Amino acid sequence: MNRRYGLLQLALGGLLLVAPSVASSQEKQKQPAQQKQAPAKLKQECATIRSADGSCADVKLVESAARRASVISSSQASYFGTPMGTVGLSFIPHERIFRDDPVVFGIPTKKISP
Amino acid sequence: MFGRKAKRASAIVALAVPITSGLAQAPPSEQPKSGEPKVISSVTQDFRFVTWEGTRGSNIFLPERGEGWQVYAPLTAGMMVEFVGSAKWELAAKTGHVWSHHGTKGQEATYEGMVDTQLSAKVTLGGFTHVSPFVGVVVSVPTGESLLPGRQRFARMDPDLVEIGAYGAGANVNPLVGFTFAPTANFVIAPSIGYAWLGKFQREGGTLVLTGEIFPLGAPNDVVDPGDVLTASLNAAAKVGTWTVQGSFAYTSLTEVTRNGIAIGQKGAGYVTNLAALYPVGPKLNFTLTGAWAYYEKDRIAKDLQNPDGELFLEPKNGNSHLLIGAIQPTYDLTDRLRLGLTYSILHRTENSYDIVEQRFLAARTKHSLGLILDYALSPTAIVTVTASRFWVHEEPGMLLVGNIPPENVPPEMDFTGWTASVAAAVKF
Repeated sequence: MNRRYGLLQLALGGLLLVAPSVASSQEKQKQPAQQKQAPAKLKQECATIRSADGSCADVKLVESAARRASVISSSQASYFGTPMGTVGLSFIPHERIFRDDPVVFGIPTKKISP
Repeated sequence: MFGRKAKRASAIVALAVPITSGLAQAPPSEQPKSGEPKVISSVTQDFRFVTWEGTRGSNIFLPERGEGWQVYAPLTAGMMVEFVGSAKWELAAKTGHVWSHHGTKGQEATYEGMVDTQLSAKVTLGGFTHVSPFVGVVVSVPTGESLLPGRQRFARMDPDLVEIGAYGAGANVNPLVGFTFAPTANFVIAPSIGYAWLGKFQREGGTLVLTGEIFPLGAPNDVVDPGDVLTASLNAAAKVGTWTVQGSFAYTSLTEVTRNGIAIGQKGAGYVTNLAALYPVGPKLNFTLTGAWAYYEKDRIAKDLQNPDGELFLEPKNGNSHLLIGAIQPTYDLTDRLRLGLTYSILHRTENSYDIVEQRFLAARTKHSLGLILDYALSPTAIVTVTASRFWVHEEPGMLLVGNIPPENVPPEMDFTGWTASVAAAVKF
């Protein structure tokens, strides 16, 4: 039992001695490959989310899509729109679509009968 | 020098929300130290003025010259707190004061006071690799007036003629949830769902007749419950070459509208689409294009609106019209601080409809609007925006009425014109 344990120790010690040199030679062999992988390691730190193809998603696109989703989903909260912003331009805003609501804008522009 | 110019230019881009409408590229901001939240606050004060005139009758067959004006001063304050890597909070509040006067003969009315106040909170959760989930809520606090007694109801003006056509609509709560996901680096989608609980509000009862009296005499106020709205949407943003494109498609489902507890109508399911695109022609010249389309299916209506029994049936012909909005806006950076924009917008309602809930005739109409926008960056964090526009509205009888009813009952064509002007100051700190 002790002999087996001694052999195991010897083997492990040998591995420890040999491993660095093997690893070193492997490193030398793989250096070009690792240099190629370096940019991939940087991609680990995406500013927002990683896309399905592995690249980092455009930050501005992520923010604008999320903002648009928030605005559209809360458009009905008020006839003013939402303080989260808008998805339209000036003068005839997107919120105008929801201002045909006769319940809120009750006074008739015109009535067929008085 | 170049750095200062670049900062000013980015300030224009970052703060000019009205001119770029979310298509802007936010400037790179300083990264907070590890463990410290990044905090950005903003305040925007607007003053918007509009005046209009045109043919407007108390009765559709008696068009008279009408006029009106409005000053609307909304104030918006917001704060973004980002805990890097864990969560981003966005809080905002918007309220405003309005002065409105309707000067059409026989319908003179004035409203001065607050409008409803909106509060919003949204949190975007970090720590996920492929998705960015968010939850939020918008609350509308009834600081405005939904009840305009007697002739004051005429202070509610057409929302195509003034900025704000109503001044209060009860307490509303609209939670929302969604997430962003990117199939590719330059293509992002964001599905979301929102549900708006629209609270009850009071509305003046009875019918106002031409003599200025209300029948029946002493009619009590109505309590209107506008029901709830479910909105499910799919949103997307993409870069295609030099173009930046954003789009949304939303489906809305609405519950019954009740008056004094009795169902009086239910709007059909709605489909709303919006598309926006930014095309940089050069380093100083950009084009922004937007388009929107809305359509609702058939409503469910009461057989007798004057004496509803709560039973609703599907209307035989769809009373809702297609509504289309389009706009084009070129902008040009005159200097590193000054940007000029020209905007042309068009709104088109394809058909007439008659609203059964409020006995309101919604005319087929086309509105054209042409205006200028000027952004001036006072500093990298402060900007002043000045706008001015002229608009034209033309109403026509439309296919719904012509040929289907006697000519003497066909409403006349009507025209309105007006001016708008606004000044806004926005500061970030």
